[in-house]
Amino acid sequence: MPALRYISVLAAIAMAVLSSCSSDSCEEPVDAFINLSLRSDTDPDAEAIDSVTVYGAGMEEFLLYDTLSLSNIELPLFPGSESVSYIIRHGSFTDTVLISYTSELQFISKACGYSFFYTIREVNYTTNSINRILVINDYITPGYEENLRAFF
Amino acid sequence: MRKTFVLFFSLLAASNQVRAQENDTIVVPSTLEIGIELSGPLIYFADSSLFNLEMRLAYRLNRKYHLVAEPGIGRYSYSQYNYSYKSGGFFLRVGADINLMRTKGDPVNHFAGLGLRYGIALFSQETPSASWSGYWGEHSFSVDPRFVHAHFLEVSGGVRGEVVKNIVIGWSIRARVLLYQSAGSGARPAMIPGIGTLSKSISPGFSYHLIWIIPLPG
Repeated sequence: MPALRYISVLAAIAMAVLSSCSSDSCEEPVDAFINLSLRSDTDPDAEAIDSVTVYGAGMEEFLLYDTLSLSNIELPLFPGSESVSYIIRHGSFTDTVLISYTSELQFISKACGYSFFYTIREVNYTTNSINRILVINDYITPGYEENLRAFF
Repeated sequence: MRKTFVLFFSLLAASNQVRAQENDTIVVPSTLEIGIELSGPLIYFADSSLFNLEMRLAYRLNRKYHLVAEPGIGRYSYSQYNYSYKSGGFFLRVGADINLMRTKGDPVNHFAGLGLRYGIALFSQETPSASWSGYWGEHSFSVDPRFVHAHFLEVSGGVRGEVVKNIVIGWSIRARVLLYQSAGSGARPAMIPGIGTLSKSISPGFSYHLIWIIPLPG
């Protein structure tokens, strides 16, 4: 009976050890984006904003979204800078959104390496189509939590 | 693998021998044990990025309990497409082994049981180069060398058998849980000496020991 007890404990440890073994591939979300949700002031029931185009200032050739009907967009940041500007075109109106932030280095895992999390310091924007932008959560980590909410 | 079979058969033989002598009076002398962990150097020959060398020092209080200290050094280097990493330093595990064998006869140096340890690691780590790339381009950076201390708990299970008089070999599997590391989440260590590489909440380990047992007078 003591041997049985011992073997049981040993087997439990072995299972814990084996279950903790992981592959060397990065299988978790690494990149942190600003999650910006889009809302309509004129139609609060609207599920999306039509005809939205988004790209980084000076990056017209690399459109993030091209004339789409959208309810949420992801805006990538750059750890080598303290601010980025985005152009958001809605129909025939164009707005510029300037986002200032601080970067924070994070080690994710051996397989994934490092990433950066961010804290929004300030959001400035033009109001050609956008009415206002609310900061919902200023800490930006990998995932789908809403950070900013823009009203058109 | 062959050694493992030899060890199991020697334990089985010892167990049978002990049953036949259950009524004998057994004197279990206190001993000092000095051992070296062999799998670390062996792994190093196959994978030079990971080096682990550790000793086992133990004092046998009685048949059941051993006080154990396991000092060692560890060194690790790793590189992949987006970062390189180096760490190295010292560790010490202290705790006890609990022999669950109920044999009452010779040889008394066999062991099958559990171990519990508290461990501390003192090491430095650095990231000589790393890169991040995304929509806005690539960003290169590095993390300077930094001294880190870490604390952990370990539970183990294993067997040891006396293959020659006062010479014991044995293996154990180990599960380690990190309690604290001083680097914070931003520079969380990829590897901690005495624990190994950190992947999930439990870090597995394996040890293969060669141990010299020194009986103490009295």
